[in-house]
Amino acid sequence: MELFALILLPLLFALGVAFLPAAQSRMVALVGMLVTFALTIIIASRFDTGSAAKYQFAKSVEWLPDLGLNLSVGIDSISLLLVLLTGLLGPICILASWTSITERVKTFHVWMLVLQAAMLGVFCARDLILFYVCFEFTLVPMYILISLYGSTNRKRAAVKFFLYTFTGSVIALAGLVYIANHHAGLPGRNWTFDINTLATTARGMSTSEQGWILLALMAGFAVKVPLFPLHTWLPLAHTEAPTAGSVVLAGVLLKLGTYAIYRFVLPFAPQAVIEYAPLLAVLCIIGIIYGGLVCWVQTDIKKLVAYSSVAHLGFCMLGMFALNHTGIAGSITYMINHGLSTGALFLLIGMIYERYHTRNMKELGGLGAKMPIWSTFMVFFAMASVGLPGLNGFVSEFMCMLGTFQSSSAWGSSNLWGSLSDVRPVGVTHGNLGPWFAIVAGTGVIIAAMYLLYMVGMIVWGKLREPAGHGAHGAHGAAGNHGHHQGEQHVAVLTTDLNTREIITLAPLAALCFLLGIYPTPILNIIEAPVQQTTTMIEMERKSIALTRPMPRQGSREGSSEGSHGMRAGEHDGNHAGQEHPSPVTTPEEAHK
Amino acid sequence: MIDRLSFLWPEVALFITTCAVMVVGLSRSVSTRKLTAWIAGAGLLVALYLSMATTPSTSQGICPLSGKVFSDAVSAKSGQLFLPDMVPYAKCLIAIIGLLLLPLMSGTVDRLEEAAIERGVRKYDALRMNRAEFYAFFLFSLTGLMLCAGADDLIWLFLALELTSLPTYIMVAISTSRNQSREAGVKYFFLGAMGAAIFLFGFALIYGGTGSTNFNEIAAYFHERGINAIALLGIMMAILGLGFKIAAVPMHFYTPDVYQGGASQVSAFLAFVPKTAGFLGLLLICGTFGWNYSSSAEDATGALNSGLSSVGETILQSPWGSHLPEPVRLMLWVIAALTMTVGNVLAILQSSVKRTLAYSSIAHSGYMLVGVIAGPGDGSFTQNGVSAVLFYLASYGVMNVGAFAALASLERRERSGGDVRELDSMDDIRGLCSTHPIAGWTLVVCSLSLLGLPPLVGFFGKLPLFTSAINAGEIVLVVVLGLNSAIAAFYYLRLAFLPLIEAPAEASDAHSERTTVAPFQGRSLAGLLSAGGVVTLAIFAGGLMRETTKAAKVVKPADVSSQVEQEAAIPASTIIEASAPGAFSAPRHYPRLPHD
Amino acid sequence: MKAAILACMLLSIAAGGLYFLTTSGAGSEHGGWVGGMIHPSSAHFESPHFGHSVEHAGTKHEAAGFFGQDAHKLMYYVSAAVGLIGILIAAILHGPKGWQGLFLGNRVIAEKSRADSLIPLFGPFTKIARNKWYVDEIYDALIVKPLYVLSHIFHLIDQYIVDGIVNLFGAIPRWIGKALRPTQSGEIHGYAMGMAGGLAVLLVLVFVLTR
Repeated sequence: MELFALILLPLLFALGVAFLPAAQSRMVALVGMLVTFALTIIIASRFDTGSAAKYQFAKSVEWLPDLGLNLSVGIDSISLLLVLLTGLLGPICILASWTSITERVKTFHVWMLVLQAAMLGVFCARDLILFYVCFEFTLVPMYILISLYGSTNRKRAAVKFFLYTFTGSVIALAGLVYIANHHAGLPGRNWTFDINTLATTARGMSTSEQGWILLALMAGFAVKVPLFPLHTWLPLAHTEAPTAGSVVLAGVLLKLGTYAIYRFVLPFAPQAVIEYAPLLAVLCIIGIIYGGLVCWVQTDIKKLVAYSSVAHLGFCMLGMFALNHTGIAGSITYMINHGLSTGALFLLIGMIYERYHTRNMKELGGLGAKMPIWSTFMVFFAMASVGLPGLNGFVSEFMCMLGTFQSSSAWGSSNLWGSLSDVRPVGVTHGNLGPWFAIVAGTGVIIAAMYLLYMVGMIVWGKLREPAGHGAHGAHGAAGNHGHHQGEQHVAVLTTDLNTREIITLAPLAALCFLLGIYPTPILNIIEAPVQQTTTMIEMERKSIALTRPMPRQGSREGSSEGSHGMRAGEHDGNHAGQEHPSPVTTPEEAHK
Repeated sequence: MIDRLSFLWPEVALFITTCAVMVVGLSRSVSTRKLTAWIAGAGLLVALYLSMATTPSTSQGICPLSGKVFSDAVSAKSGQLFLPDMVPYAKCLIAIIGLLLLPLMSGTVDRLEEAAIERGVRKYDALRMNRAEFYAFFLFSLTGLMLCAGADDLIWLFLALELTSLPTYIMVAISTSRNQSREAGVKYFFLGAMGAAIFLFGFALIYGGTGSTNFNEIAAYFHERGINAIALLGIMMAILGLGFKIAAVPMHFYTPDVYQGGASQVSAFLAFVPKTAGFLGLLLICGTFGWNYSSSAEDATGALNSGLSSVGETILQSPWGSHLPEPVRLMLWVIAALTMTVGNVLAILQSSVKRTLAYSSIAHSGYMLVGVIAGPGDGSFTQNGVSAVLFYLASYGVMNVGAFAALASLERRERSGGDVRELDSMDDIRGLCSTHPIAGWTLVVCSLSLLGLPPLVGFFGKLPLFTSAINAGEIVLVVVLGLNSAIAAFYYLRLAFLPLIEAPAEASDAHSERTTVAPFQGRSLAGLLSAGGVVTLAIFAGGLMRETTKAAKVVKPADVSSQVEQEAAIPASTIIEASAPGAFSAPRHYPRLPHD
Repeated sequence: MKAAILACMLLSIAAGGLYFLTTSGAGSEHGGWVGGMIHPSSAHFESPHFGHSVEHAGTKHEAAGFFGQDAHKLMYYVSAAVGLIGILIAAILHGPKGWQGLFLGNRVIAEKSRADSLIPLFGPFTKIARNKWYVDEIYDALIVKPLYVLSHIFHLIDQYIVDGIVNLFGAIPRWIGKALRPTQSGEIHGYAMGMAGGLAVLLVLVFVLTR
């Protein structure tokens, strides 16, 4: 019931906003978002962390039995984290748009609440079609938000966003229906769209079928992530969206794609993912480096941060496709951390935009002198985004890279490091990635530092540069959208530096970035069980591939997938049954035997 | 006799209503004339009740119109029976959508005449009034549609189809006083006659190939002796002729001109009624040979020919197959793919809302054809393409009415004079949600539903098409369907979001026209009901899905090979007469084919 | 002078660090308290060979080295000696006359120092050394500029090629539409021809394909 309440609550408040006068919209919307957030906290507090991999608060309402469609909801710890993120960003977005949205205020808040409901629905859904419905339905509010409240090129951005994502999603739908069809064709099975049931049978598809499924599903989800080369909608949409739109787009909507890949692509087409992991990882790496380098030459701050999202999510997906515990755990933490830090960056940019009405780095500069609080936050979140150790970005980035580094079946064979062929560290897993992938991706970290520090340096430090027409006492914060200002009242002049409301929007994000940076353990602990499940499943699939196909020469020692998080005891793989692997060396003498 | 009539009570009721309408509509007194629509509505309600309550389903083995009762042996031998339970569902659907269309039609004809009479400028002249004919044709067309649903004979089907279409030609022509509607009517008539000629020729060839016009007998013939070349040619021509009704490629050319020429309300009518007629006919004809054919050579070792199509040889059923006979399947495949693509691709370029909706109508026919190709599968809703088609017809009828109703409920009026025209161009629908919220939101909701955006009913209409087609193995077609849905987003976005997001085009006073609400509340009512229907059908789609599954129930073929070995002759002896033998009761003698 | 002190400090730190790292504290097999931290981490080397060689070196610490000295202790002393010598040389070359140069540091500006007389000895190296060995410039030319150019190229690729392909996909339906548009001419003759022709084409197509 709680989850249904969670999804319906924003909708109810949306109705409330729609029918109450426009003056109350902001307050009602804020209250609605806060109540939703409170509900997520309550759900989180009642979440049983002991069985984090189990889908808790699960409920299923029969809806269309002929189609096997039920309104099934349930969350495990990963969904919980994303639900918390969504809940957190909701009120922050409303607060952030308090003064910048002045026209059609009602519409804005109605659609923000509807969007919130749809996003929560995606994360809570345990039925394939319910997931798809919510997934698709996020497009409508986003389209409206961008095209009504965005900047100059908003129409094109909104249309491109909608069409691109819609096309991908329809192809993904074909894939999902195929999976359900496969399930129904098995003896003794009924038609169902229940994800739990489908996950168990979908793995039985042949590898070639899984390959097609992978293609179809990735077509839909990779657009949302976005993965190179399906990323071109992102800079446009991010740049033209209003602040709240950008925050929610970067913070949550991109995670819909990554979450979907974790939830659907990995369980439904594991063999295909294992096979194509290197290719996908290459795409991720291209995204990291390419996205990063393109960031560097941007003059529009928002576009810079948008492309940085491409780069960051490249990291996230790289960890995912490492298909080991560290990688996937890193990927999930990355989702949370990216939402926090990039969301905050967009908030900060929005605050600048409200004051100066420009996002051009050539016109803005040295604002550190005028706006110290803003600058502090800016540097802080930029560092979090770069991956400075001590802040949250580092944890996830490192884990993703470590996972990639470890993920190679070539460890221990002479292919890898030549004369160091006898080196086989603990923690390496089977996989097709490996150190070279991680090394190349690592340069992406340097590139991230390049562009973020460049941006921060230009904007925060140096000589004070302000766009013409905005004098020493700060700008009017009257227009969030480039509409006509006919006859509407001027909002109060914004203070030069951040006011309390704006600080309130940033403070929780900053606190979380800091806390998660120095103490990520709660998150890592809570996601351990589901990630472990996924990894075990992947390993099983890897073995079954190995059994059904002749193995390429793997070298003298096969790695067992022991990671640094205490996994199951060393398993024998198919080829070397019976050979015990040495456990971590405790005394040198024993190992030397 | 009464048994046969029991199938026809709804049509009889409608016919009586038509007569009443024709009389009342020509009355001299205004108040009586105003009752015309209400009488039509009452008639439809009665017909609805009769469809639900009294129409027997043919699963008892009763043939609807000829009164023949078939024993189980024959039914089984006919293979997949043509939708024995479809009749009640179809008639109910027709009555309900008819009731939805009726308020939409208010004020279509005679508006200027009535205004003139009221002002006293003109005197009442029955020859100039069209109201009676208009509503009469409306009801005639629906009657014909119901007759289509219950057809069990080729000739009956043809007559029903013509009864459905001919009134629509005239409805289009008289729907507005502009020349465009007359032109549209004439075009429609000529091309419709051509389409009718094509499918009649096809029917004739089927008769030539099988020796009978009764669906049951044709089915029995196909079951035993396979589809010979002449019958196959006939089937294909019949399907193409029916393609005219559903606006499938290559018979789609009339659609945009006719939809644009007629008034929006009549276009709404056209988008549902002939389409339903065409699909019912298509399903009936496909039901005669069924979906039991294998599409590959894998079953070559069966007692029967595997059903591989070589035209020239006879195509026989295979108990292991699940497709239409290959030539028919191929043709429907090509038509479906082309229809979807042509419809969507041409719609993108339009700047007229009505033409866009016309092309979208073509595209939706293409989607439904995918369901026809998919076939009934094993009868469950997810595998049943036929039930998907029936469900889609229902949902499409509702959404489409809404879209056109939004247009029909408003009109553009010159600021200076009283010249009134319909909303047609994209500019006219800008900012509609703020100026005329009811019409605007109806258009938004219906457009998004037509796009297939969840959670509206359009998505739940497309979903069974997806599932049944994938189950039938038509993966490529499903991908085409998906891509076409995506292409459709191009123009549906415009239709949906121009009202919602844009500012009204007439914000500046320089604009010479403004949009006002048409003085006919019925149209807004129809729009509201449709929009409400779109949303509630999505939530309560379960009931409709159950109904369509029942309606598309498949009678499985019994063990085929043993039956065929036993019977070399025509099973005339097993046909039991229900009552007094009529013209159709004489046992047929099938001509032997040379290579038998 | 400052350079020398810096060199000295660095070397001393290195030496000291090495000392701490390599002393075997109680309870940690290898590596002292830093090693104690490394142990439980995942960077654990389990290869017996490597463990063996390290262990080998560890146990035979005393045996290895030069002249019977422990290699580490030797490093110690050598680095200290080098540092001190460096300080001395710097003081001689750059300090003012007299012993104050050793202590007064940068309060004394050496406009002219004895090092100047050494310039001709080193030739062009002096200039290079003065300009920080042109490290910055080389770095700029080799890495920064190419990356910058590459970034611009990527930006253009993104704007025109990647985005172009996407827009191409979007434009294809429009093109097909434009191509098909003439079929809707409005003339009945054209339509009738289309219908009949389409019928014929379809029938022929099907009959041919299913032969």
